This record gives sequence, structure tokens and C-alpha cells, in this order.
Amino acid sequence: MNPVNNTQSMTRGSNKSNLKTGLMLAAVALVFFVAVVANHVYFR
Amino acid sequence: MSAVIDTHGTDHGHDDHAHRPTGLMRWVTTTNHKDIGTLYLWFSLTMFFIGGILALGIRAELFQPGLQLWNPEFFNQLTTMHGIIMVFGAIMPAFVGFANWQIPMMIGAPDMAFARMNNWSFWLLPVAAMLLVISFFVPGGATAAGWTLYAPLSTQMGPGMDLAIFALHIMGASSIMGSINIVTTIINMRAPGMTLMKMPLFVWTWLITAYLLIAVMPVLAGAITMLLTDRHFGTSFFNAAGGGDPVMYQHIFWFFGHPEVYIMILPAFGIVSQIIPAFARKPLFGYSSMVYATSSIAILSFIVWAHHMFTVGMPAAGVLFFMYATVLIAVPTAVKVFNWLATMWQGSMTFETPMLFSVGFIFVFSMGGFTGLILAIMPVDIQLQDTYYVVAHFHYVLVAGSLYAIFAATYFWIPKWTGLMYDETLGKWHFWLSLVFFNITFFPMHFLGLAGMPRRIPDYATQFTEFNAIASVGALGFGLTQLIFLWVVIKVAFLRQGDKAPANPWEGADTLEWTHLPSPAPYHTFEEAPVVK
Repeated sequence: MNPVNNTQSMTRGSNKSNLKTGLMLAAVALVFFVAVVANHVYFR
Repeated sequence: MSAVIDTHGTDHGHDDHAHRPTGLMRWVTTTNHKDIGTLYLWFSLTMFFIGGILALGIRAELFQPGLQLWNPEFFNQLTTMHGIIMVFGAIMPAFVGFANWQIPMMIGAPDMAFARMNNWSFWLLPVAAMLLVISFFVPGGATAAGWTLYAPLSTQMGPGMDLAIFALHIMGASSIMGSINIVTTIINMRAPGMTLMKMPLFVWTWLITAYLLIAVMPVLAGAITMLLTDRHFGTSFFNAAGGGDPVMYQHIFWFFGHPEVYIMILPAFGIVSQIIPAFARKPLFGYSSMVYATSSIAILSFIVWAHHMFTVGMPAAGVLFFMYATVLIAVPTAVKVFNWLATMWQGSMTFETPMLFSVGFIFVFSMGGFTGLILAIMPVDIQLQDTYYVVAHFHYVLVAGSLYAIFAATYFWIPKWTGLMYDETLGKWHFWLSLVFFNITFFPMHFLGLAGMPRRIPDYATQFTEFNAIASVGALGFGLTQLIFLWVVIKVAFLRQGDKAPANPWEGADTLEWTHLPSPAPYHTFEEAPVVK
């Protein structure tokens, strides 16, 4: 059985909600990266 | 501590539990959290020995004053690469390996949330490791700017520096993806009834660690990207001649670097918080205070970074702020130590190898914590900055802290992973020899630092000779002792020697992997979610 698909059969953690959470966290990471670099480009 | 649970046996009765792919492609294409955990752990062990060989190169040169083996440039490459490899190649991947193996089993999930990304997270690492190793052989050799890669030194070095920057970028991407996976798994895929405050402490500490990683790895990526553009694309972020500020690099680096310290110790706290209740046969004392203490440490870790750079100069108000904030971290840390001791108090304790390493962790890590408090006091730090006192301090927290917890976790969980008990006698030899040689290596460094010996130098004044010789002998002993660990692991993992492990070999362990799964854990677990009461 493919464990990736197992999540769909469970009562929680559908692939869609996982993707939503994952993308939100990735956006946070991106914000931190852009903030550090943009801050330096702008203020130096 | 997770509440216990309806016990409907340890076998879920699926026929395909034992089915698993075979051959090399199993490991290249695997999306199984247990396989990926295994890959992480073997990668980490390999890098641990590579980093260890570099450390022995350092200690061999420092055995006596004068230049015996290496020229100063190569010595600096050794210290730098030892740091980078141990931090990013050994300690961090080991904890991610434990997370991969244990978190799905501990929360009753069938796998990680993003199984394919999990594969990608791992397979980035060998590429980065290769870049680091190759950098020794490019013109000018590997980067020698220290693991912190301070500008302007790092903006002036040869192509080895570029390889290190790329390697760090890749490892950072791997960490971010791994963290997103871990957070999503924990938030979305817990078994019914597994509320946040019922999660095992190891899962809690990893949840908080993963948030830290998501916040600070992009900051490191930003800093080294700016380094790269300063080196090759004509920018002057950190170049004073072009209007930039090298001290700003230090601020950005340590905004990453201090949370990074806690990234390397919080999962260790989680491991010790699993092991001590199991071997004291008592529930963890103060579970909720442990969770709050871990969160407090994580939050405080963002506002203490400048204690790494007191000597660059800052306003008195800044010094006081960073000093007090740093000392404040002792409070939640002390809560944790108190809770571990209170868990052991009047427990029915036995001292198998995981417990020995955990108790050793508390004792020796706390010594590193105390020297951290001493270094946090700015007037003292002005004296001790960049001396061997600092080297002693961070090895007490990273070796006796993080590494001991990694050993403890391996001994604790290897029966679940392999279905075999490790060699207890060899485990105990490993612990005691590690403890003795660790202290022979690093305790004298306190005296060297107090006497003024600077770090990152290949030669030193003759009054430092004796303590350096002792430290070098200790380092050789510590390095050889780790071969015992390698042998113990090879014995159970490859030679399949050892007593058969029961589903729960530890009387006091009560998390899902022990109560609900046989040993070894089947290839696929918790396809049907357990119900946690």
C-alpha cells in the first residue's frame, strides 16, 4: 500500500489540508528570507 | 506524556506489513518515513565520523606547541569544516532521522504528511556533503572562515567558500522542507484523541524546533546569499569600502545562529524527557511545564543573539538587554532539569544504556549550561571571547548535550527499529568511556581559556602545553570509543546479532510505538488510526 495515499483514508490529515498547512509554512519561510534581503537592499 | 490508550493488541493483522521493496532503488525512491529515518541516521553517522576525523586532525596539531602536521591555512580549514559538518551534517540530520522514525509512530499517523518531499529533503543532503568534501580539493582549499563565515574574511576567500555557501543553501532548503513536513504531520495527522497536550514530549519539542527552523533557516539563506552577491556580483552588503557593514553580517548570522543552538538541543530535551520516565517507571513530572518551558526557550532564543558579539561594541542599553535576556533562559532550562530530577525522585530506576546517557546528559549538559551563564555576563565575556573557554562551553552543550541524547535515543529505540536488543555490555562501555574521555578532552579547555589561549590557532605559547596534551589524548580516546558505538549498531542492524526484542522492552515506556506496535515496527504502521483515550 502506498503510504502517501493512506492519509486520504484517515479521519484527519487529508492531502488538501496538509497542502494548505504546508504552503502556509512555506510562505512564512519565504517572508523571512525576503525580509532579510529586502531590508538590506532598502536601508543600506 | 500521551494518555494510554485502548489496548487492542500489538498486531493489526495486515498481510502486507512485511512487504517492502528491495535493492538500491528502495532507498533512492522510498517515501516510507522509516526508510527515510534510517537514511538520515546513517548519513548522520557517516558525517559524524568525517567530522570526528577532522577534529582529531585539529587535536593532533595541538598536541604540542609549534607547527608539526599542518600549515595554518589548512588548520583553519579543519576547524571550519569540523564545525559545519558536525552542526549541519551530523547533529541536525540525526534529530531529523529520529523525527522521521518516531513522530508518525508516536502520534499514530501512517507516514509523514508529504512523503515524496520527505525523500527529496533527505537526498539533498548527500549532495551538500559532497560539495563540502570536494571543497578541500579546489584551489585554496575549503573555506577557513570559521563555521560562522564572518565577513569580510568570507568575502575574500577562494572557491571553497562558494562551495560551502551552496552546500549551506542546499542543507537549509532540506531543513525547511523537513520542518514543514514535521509541523504539518503533527498538526494535521494525529490519531483521534491525541490532543496537543497528550503528545509525547519528543513530538512537542520537535514541533517547536520545526517552527524555529522555518523562521531562521531563511535568515541564514539570506545572509549567505548576500555574501555570494558580495563575492561575485559587485554588491557591498558587508563590504565597508563600498558602504556596507561587516558587523551587520554578524547580527544576521547570529539571529539565525542562536535559535540554531536551540534547534540542536530542544529535540535532545525531548528525547531525555521520553527516556527518564521510562527508566524511572514514573510519569514525567510537570508535563505541561515542560511544554511551556520549551516554548519559552524557543521564544527567548530570538532575542539573545548579540551575546555572541559583545566585543564588537554596542550601546550599554543593548548590552544590558542581551545580557539579561540571555540569563533569563536559565529559568525555563532549570524548570526542565528540575522536572527530570523530580521524575527520577523515588522512581524504580534501572540504568540501562539509554538511561545512563540521559543521566549523563543532565549532569554534563548542566555544566555547559553554567559556563553559558558565565559567558553571558558581558564583562566576563569581554575577557573570554574567542578563547578556549568558549570552545569548552559549547562542546559541553553540544557533545554532552546533543550527542549524548542522540546516543541515548539510538539505544532506546533501536529495539523497535531492528527487533533486536543491542549489546548492553558494550553500550555501557560506550557510555563510561565516552564520559571519561569527553571530560579529559574538554574540561582542561576551561583552564586554557581562563589562562587566555585563543581558539582557532594552530600554535600556542608553551605555558599551554600540558593541558593541550591532555585534551589531545582525551580526544583520541573519545574518537576510538565511538567505534564501540559503530560496532554495536552494525551488530544489530547488519549482523542481526542480539536477543529478540519484545514489543516493549522498557517497562515504563508508554507511548504508542511501544504499546501498539510489535518489534521491529512493521514497514507500514497505523494504516488504521489508533484511538487515544
